Amino acid sequence: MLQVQNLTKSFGGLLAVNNVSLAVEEKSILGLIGPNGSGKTVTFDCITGFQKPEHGRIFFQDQEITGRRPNQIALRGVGRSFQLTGVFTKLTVYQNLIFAVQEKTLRRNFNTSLRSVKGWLPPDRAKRIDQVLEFTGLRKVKEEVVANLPYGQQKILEFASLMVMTPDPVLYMLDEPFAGLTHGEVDNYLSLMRDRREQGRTFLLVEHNMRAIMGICDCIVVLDHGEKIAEGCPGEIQANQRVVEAYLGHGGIA
Amino acid sequence: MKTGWWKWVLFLVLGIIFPFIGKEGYLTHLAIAMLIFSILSSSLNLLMGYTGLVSIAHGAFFGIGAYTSGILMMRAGFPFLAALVVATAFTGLIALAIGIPSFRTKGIYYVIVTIAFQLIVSEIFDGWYAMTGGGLGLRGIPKPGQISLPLLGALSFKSKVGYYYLAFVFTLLIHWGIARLIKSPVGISLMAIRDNETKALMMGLNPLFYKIFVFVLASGLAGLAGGLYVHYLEFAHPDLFSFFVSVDIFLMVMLGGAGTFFGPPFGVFVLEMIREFLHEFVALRLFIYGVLLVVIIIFLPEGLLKPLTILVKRIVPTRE
Amino acid sequence: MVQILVNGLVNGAILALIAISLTIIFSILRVPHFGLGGIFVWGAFVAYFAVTLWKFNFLLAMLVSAASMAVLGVLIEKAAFKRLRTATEDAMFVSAVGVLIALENGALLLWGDKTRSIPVPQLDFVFSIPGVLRLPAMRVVIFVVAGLAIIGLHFYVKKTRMGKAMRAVAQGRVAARLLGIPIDRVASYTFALGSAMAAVAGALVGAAFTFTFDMGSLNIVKAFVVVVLGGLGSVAGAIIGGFLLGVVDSFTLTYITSEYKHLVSFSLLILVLVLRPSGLFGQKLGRPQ
Repeated sequence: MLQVQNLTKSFGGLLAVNNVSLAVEEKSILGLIGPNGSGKTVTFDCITGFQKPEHGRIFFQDQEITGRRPNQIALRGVGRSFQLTGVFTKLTVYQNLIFAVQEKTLRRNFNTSLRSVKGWLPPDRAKRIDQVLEFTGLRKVKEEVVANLPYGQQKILEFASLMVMTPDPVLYMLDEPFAGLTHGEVDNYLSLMRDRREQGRTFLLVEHNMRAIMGICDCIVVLDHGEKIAEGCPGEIQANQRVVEAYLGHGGIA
Repeated sequence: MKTGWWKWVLFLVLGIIFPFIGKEGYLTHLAIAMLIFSILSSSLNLLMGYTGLVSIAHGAFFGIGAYTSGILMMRAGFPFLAALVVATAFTGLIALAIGIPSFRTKGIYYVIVTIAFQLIVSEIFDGWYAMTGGGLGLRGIPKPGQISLPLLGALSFKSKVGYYYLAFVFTLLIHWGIARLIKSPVGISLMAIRDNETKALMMGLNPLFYKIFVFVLASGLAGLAGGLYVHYLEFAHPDLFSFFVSVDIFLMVMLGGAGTFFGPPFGVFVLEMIREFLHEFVALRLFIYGVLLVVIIIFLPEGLLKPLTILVKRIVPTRE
Repeated sequence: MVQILVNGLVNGAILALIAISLTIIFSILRVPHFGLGGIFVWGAFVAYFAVTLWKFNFLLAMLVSAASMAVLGVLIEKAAFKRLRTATEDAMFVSAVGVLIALENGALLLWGDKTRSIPVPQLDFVFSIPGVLRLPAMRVVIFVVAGLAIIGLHFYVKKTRMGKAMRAVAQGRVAARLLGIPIDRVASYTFALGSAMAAVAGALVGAAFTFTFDMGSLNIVKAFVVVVLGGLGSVAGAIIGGFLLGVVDSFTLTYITSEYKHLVSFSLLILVLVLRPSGLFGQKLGRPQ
């Protein structure tokens, strides 16, 4: 589904990502791990269009997306969550989901806005929101302003937005989704992911939480200093000497 | 709008009966000014409060619409409504021209671009004597004529009360439009851009188009307000549309509460009250404005209306 | 023609001084301190009163002006900007505009709207090359003082401990705090320094030309143009930009039009910002996270 070939990106003189290639199969969950500063987020940024790589090509569903803008990539079916804030803080939970579920282009939104109020949230979309609210347990806080919600719930909301989003993302790219979550919250999040995978979605995940990564990923790619140093299933990676050294050499797992 | 509907009815009723209190007097004159400035502050609020884009150029657009409408009617013989419409459209066009390049800049640079634009326009108002009358101003701008209403007979806009109703209708319609826009898909998108542009981008939205849209809309509305203002005063002058006026409007929005619907008109009201109290003491008034700006941004960034409403609710128990 | 050039350079020197104040405060504390326009005005007034009321000579008056405005600058930092350190740049900008308006109108309230000039009888003579150049001595003083101020600033930032602390904070506030650098103190010194320079610029303008309570707004906007052209955070850019803009303005005034003199510089600003959003030498703004 996603193919990254020979991705290279540097800042100033610093090589942040050096000749990294990876592939994510449909309906699989790929984990991207590595010590801090190994280039994971830069890789994400290049794939989702926030940075332009110097070398390399990126293909999504066999179509090249290298260098395209983030909104164009999103419209093709890539959804991304962010490390820090990925929600709209002054809006309510419900409004966050309305934004996710409605059209994104100005032309379409303008036309819709001119028509009657009933057309603003068609019943099928309202239903979709309702279902996700129920499924994620956010129904009770749906009128709450997001800034007032605890961090864990904000993260769940971010995931919920991806679940209802128009256009429906087939690839979920999650940037450290579990950072700052409690054990229970992580398990909650993981079950949501598993459900999505059942529904046919694909995941590319950057994380530091090893328990979660080893538990859910089919395949793992390890970066260190911008280079890919290992690739394989969780068992193999855990046993890989070079991976262990990379982490230990950098003062252990963050 | 279910929750606030009574506010609309209240405003409507008060608005209609007001002239019977004010008649041709100073109060009505004040009311007309406040209505027009409400259009200005609410349109700036669209830009600032709902989309997160500061602009210190609103005074300039206010002026562009004003001069254009005045000149069209005075020199080109346009009828009132036509002059107003063309002036609004022209202001919007200029906003488009300045908007497209200025959104390439970010943050403080963008604010400076709006300031620079305001100063350039001010200078043109001052310098283009042939068109605008320069520092002497433009005198003799005609008022609109009259229309015949079915029951009430002829309503002449040459009187204060007549013009008041004209301004009232425009203000009502514009605010209704803004209220509708805010709740619509476009409005939600604007707020998304305000709260987290990066995330909105990653969800498929192109912020540039929306920003240009709201900038043109807000500035066009400012131009419309300008037309309304200048045909009432029958006079136009660069000082009415200066950098300080832009700051005034900005302060109205901040004082009332950027991002709230009723905040900016409330801000207009408060500022007009201050102006009335300190009418003689221009320097003192401006000094207070300056201090207010600092105080509000530090202590009350949400504006006055929200904390005041909470305070009132605590003192006066409301029927739930 | 030489006259026009030199006039431009004189104005440019003043602009450069204000621009440097702006740019150091911005690069170190990320505050777009429009309020310096007000300090500029007050600097002129204080120097004026020092000379006329207390009979100081001009040099002493300048020092008094610089010192008093440095103190005022620190107070302003504490009152208007300290609590906004974590806020957005827009918020700080609003506060800065508030300070500018308050200071200018404060001056109007206190001292009225009369146009004044600081009398410096010792420097009443004029350098002249007949037919080519006529340069009052006071304007030469502007060059001298500006030059000394710039050199002084350079040494201060390069050699002193506080100067190094300032540079550290400019590069990264979080890191600087981790290194134990007292941000509050750095902020105070930065504002003191910037305000002193703006005050000196005001005093010089007051003596070489005339001054009023409202000369701050236009000059601070122009200084902003300079800072943006030269790049926010670049002192070299502020200096070069200052002289450049002064000269451009001077030529525009004489050859093109006297009515739209600011149009050219402001249009230039918009053009530059659109083509090179970081200015000619400036720091790039980070991507909003």
